[in-house]
Amino acid sequence: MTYQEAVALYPHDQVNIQVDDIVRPMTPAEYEEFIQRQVNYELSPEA
Amino acid sequence: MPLTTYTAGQVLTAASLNANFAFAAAGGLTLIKTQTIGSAVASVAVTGAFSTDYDNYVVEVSASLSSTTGYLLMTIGGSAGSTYSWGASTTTFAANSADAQNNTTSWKIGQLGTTSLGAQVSLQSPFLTKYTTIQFGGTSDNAGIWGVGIDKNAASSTAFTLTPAAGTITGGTIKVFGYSNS
Repeated sequence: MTYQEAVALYPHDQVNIQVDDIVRPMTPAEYEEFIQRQVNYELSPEA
Repeated sequence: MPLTTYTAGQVLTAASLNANFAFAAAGGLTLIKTQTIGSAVASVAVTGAFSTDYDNYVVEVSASLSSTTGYLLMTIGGSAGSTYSWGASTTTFAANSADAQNNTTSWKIGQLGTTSLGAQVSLQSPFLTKYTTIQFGGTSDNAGIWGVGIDKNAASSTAFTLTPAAGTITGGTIKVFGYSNS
């Protein structure tokens, strides 16, 4: 998955962070880390 | 002494009632916390999960689903470095394979599934200033994983975080139980 594909699949306003009962939008830094995680992720063979 | 069940008209003695209280107090698992998982979350942190009240815990994730397939990861609050090690078997339900990582940044405790995912882990000593050990199993609609691991960091943790290795998770419940120390 490319960076652009990850951003298109997961727009910033459609992913959240949860701490206990609080679900909030990601900060720009958190979103960048999230997108990089999608780019770097290797799908498991059985997934 | 096993729990006494009374019948109508039976005399309830202090000794019998106290024995029931003692039985309950010494009981196995106690629910500590229930956390509903929100919508499209990239991680879920559960605070106040571990304390001096219990040494050993069960964490159960049920009735959730994810935006894509992959693995569900877990970290504990006091440990943010590359001190997690684990070994596991995985299955596609058609074939099994093995997986392991040493000195990495999380435990791989479950499988993500777009229609279903659930997982259960047992944790020993996350609050104590000792290494934390874990036994885990997690299943989705397309795969499963089960194994053991350790966090070679003796820092005390009160919280844990579940993170999908890819995408987000939505819905379901996280329950934390503590094993009686007695």
